[in-house]
Amino acid sequence: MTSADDTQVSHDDSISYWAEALFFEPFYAEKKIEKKFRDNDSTLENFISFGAERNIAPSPLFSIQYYRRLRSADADAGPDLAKGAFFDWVRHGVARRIVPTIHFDNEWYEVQYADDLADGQWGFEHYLTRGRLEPLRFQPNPWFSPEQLLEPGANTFPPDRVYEACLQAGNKLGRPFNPYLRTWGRPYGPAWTPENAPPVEHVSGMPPRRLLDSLCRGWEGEEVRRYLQHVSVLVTIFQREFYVRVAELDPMTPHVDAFFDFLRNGMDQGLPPTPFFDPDIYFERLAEAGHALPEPEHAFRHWLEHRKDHGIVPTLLFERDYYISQLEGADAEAAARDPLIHYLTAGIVSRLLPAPDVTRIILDKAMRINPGDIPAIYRYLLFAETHEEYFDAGPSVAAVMERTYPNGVSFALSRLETYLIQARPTHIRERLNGPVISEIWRRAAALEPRVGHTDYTFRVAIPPFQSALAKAVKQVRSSLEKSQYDTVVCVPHCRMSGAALVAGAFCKAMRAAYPERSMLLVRTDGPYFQRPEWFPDDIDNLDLSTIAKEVPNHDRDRLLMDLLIGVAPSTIVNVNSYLAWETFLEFGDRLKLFADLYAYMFCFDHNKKDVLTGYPARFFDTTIEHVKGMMFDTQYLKGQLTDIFKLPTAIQDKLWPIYSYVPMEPLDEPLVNTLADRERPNDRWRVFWGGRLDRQKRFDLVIEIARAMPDVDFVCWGAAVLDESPYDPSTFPENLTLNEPYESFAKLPIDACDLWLYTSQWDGLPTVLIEVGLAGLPIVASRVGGVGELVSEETGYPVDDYADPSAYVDQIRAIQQAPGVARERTLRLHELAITRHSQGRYVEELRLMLGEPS
Amino acid sequence: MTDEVDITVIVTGHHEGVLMGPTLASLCEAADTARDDGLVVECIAVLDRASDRTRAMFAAGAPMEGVFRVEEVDLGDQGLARNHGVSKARGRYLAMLDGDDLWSFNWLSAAYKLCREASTPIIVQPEFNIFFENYHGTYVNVSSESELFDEDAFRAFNYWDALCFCERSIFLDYPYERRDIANGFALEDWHWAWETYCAGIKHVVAPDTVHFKRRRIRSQSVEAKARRALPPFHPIQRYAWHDRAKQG
Repeated sequence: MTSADDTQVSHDDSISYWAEALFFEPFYAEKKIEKKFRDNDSTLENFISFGAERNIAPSPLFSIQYYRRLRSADADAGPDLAKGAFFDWVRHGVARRIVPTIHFDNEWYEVQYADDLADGQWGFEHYLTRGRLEPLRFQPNPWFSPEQLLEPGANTFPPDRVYEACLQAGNKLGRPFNPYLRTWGRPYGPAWTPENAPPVEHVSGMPPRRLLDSLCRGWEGEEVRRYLQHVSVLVTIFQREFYVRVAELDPMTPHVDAFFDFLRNGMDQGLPPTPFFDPDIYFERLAEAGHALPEPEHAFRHWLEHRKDHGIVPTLLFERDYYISQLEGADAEAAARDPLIHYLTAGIVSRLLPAPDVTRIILDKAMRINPGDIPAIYRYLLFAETHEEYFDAGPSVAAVMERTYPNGVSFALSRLETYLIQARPTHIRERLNGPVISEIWRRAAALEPRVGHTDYTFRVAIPPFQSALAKAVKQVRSSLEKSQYDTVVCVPHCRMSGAALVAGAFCKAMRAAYPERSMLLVRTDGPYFQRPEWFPDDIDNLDLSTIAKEVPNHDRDRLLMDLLIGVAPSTIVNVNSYLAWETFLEFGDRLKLFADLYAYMFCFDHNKKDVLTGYPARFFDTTIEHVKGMMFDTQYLKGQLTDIFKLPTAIQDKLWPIYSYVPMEPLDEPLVNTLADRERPNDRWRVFWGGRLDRQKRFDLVIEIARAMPDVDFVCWGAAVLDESPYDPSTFPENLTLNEPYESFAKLPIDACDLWLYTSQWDGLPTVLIEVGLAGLPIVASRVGGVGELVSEETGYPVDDYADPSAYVDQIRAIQQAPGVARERTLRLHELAITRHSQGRYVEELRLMLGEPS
Repeated sequence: MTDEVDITVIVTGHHEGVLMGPTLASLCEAADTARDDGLVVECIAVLDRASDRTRAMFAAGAPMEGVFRVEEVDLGDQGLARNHGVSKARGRYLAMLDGDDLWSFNWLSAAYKLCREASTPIIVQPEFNIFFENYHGTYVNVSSESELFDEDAFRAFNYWDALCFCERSIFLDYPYERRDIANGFALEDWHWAWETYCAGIKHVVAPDTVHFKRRRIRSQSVEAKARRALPPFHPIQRYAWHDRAKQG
């Protein structure tokens, strides 16, 4: 074993060690992990082999975002970070003692438990491996104390994981501070704080350090309990969705992180923690009341401290008297003492209204929009609904009369205010029922009785809120770098697939053929962008799919149209995007007036009754009239379409078979050269197979072939994607192993492969066969679709009777028995893959097809 | 009474038949209200490939005989029919009405007053469009100066429909585009709104005014929608227009 291998082994050991120390199964199991990887397998092994590289956090004590932010400042952050934050942390972060979470106060811990730490031992490591086993003795930070949580019957948290469980439960409720708040003396959140829980005194009586220090800085000299009261109020009214926008944090920043960012940075910068605090309004009203803000005091902190003295409401969104009028008795008295805080802590939960004339029914019904379409701020303001995106008011808030906060971020609440004050549906209903309009109505009804009221007449549509599309088109435009692009390429998404590979190759070839043309890549059907290296570095890249989700289905093609008209490309290319196909179908006649339309088609699908389906069946005849060129990666599909539709020459001339290339260098020494005399473990040949375990790919044939050839090993990679996998691995023959799908061809142990087996029932020309050809390995393949264009009797071992296992067996035996012949054929395959499937040739053909774009 | 005409109202008719009765009555009521304010109002009916039933509404012996100058045209196009009306109008201000909709009685006088008070030419919209018959609801018009007006949103839907009130010169400078449903272009009123907005003309709302808009089962706009028609292309649809507007 080489020294490099030793390093690898010790690194693997570290990974297991730290993964085990951190891993919290209930947390990991809740993450959005693709079903096929999650089923019965939310285990530590699953995290190491799958989750870690996909940046799925193993525990609430490991924040991917937080760690990346800390690490991104380092000069050497890069390659390992790209492999996954956890791996990077094990390799680099541990040595630097980077604590990957804000929920653990390492400095405090090391001082507090200095006697317990072994020489030079790191506090975080001690806590993970030792401290949390005794939760009453070792605390992760000065303000988390689990006594009550661990009382018999208090809850079902596992004692050694009570802190993680609290963090997780808190995050789910969007109220993550409960464990802290309990020690801060104010239980909060009806969802999981036990009834009548007495307040818990702070354990050591010392003020929380560091994070809370930054909050308390302005109140130095006062006693701690008072700070904590302010903190409680702040925790209660802090609005993550609002704050992440104001502070320009990543929109997915967790509640806790956002809150601490406010403590650390936001408050000092004068950023408001909630839409219910408007610094400008506060200044104005303070001045009106004859007060001034002492320098250098911050408006928000000043209000927190003095609000009960002067009674100023720092927002237009809340009307004191109206609010109090909804309450009676003691509640009204309590509300009168501190009305806005009362609303935010008690009223909002009881669905009281912050200001008159706004009800759920009116928004739901009068605006005639689905709750999902209601600009999210209203949901929060009016209903306190728990919703990830409830502050996302789109066109309603983003554009006009923006208010700029001290950190330079602009934020517009004025349109919202206009809406609430002038245009809210109740206001309009009042006007419609008022004397002037009533008279108009009376006189009109005398002329035409049908104009009389119905209940539905009061469904009020107020622009721009009535249009979900309006919000989306604005988001799309504002997320682009440029106003204009010469070429727009639409792809469904970029996952590990042949189509994505071809899309990337197409973009790179476009870049090579027309370097001066600007290009925009649009992902229309899904957000994934798993293989950025397949695409040119300098291409602009838009995830339309996420924005489109907010638009009703029937309007999504109009969203894409707005983009396409908006950026005025001269060329639009569709590489397998469903939305782009729909748009070509619906609007192709108008798109072609300003842009040349091109599209890729790969192959027909076959449904269970073996009827031809898929994009060629649905979109070829319906769009070919508008498309200037249709690209295929095989001659076969052109021939098939020509035959089915009896195409005239003029249409045939629009069809361009262009052989794909793959981003892989051919091996200088084709592997087949050593086929005849290579040494094999136990003298057994090894056949590789890779693909989806879906109906099309006929993995069942591989199983049969393996059964018929017990002297040969079959090493396979794949998972079911489209269909439920019908295969039970326990029934596989011993000489067949099935691995998880491979990440890239380059990562396969291809040196150990004697030949590649391909068994699809239908196909275009799968890119993997080109890769096998570049590696110089013999191929036994079903001759379906375009496969025969690469694998013929000249270049490999085609099987025409694709459903007959014995036909494959015969061809594999032929290779074993005559490796010399196999070598000759495979060298021709190798040559064909190099010459015909090259980027240079692809670029030439692309140029030929596109010519000089108009 | 002088020869100078203050307001020309243009109503377009096709196959409305007797449905036009309430429309014409509401028009006359609004015209009379304006006349009560001392204004001179002329009424033009543009009948575009109109049915006999529609034509009969203006024929001898009908209550509306002589009230309207009737222009018969063979255009088959709503926008062009309105343009024709414009070319025949003598009023300083024009108001458009479709043959099955109704105005509030105060529409003409309120819109006229706003125009006279404005320092530059403006386009006046009613405060409310109230839909009736087969669809019921109320659309609230907002002014182009309102914070509820958004240039991006304007690409997604039309803020204002065609039944507006403004100086004749605006209609002369910005005639409606021909409708081209066969090739997927219609919605000429949306295009007209873009055109006038981009020319810097404010769209203003006259408070306490209403247009009652009939939603029949099959109306022209419904047909246009069914074909997924688009308004004719316009520079405001280009992102570059918005970015330029943003910059400068």
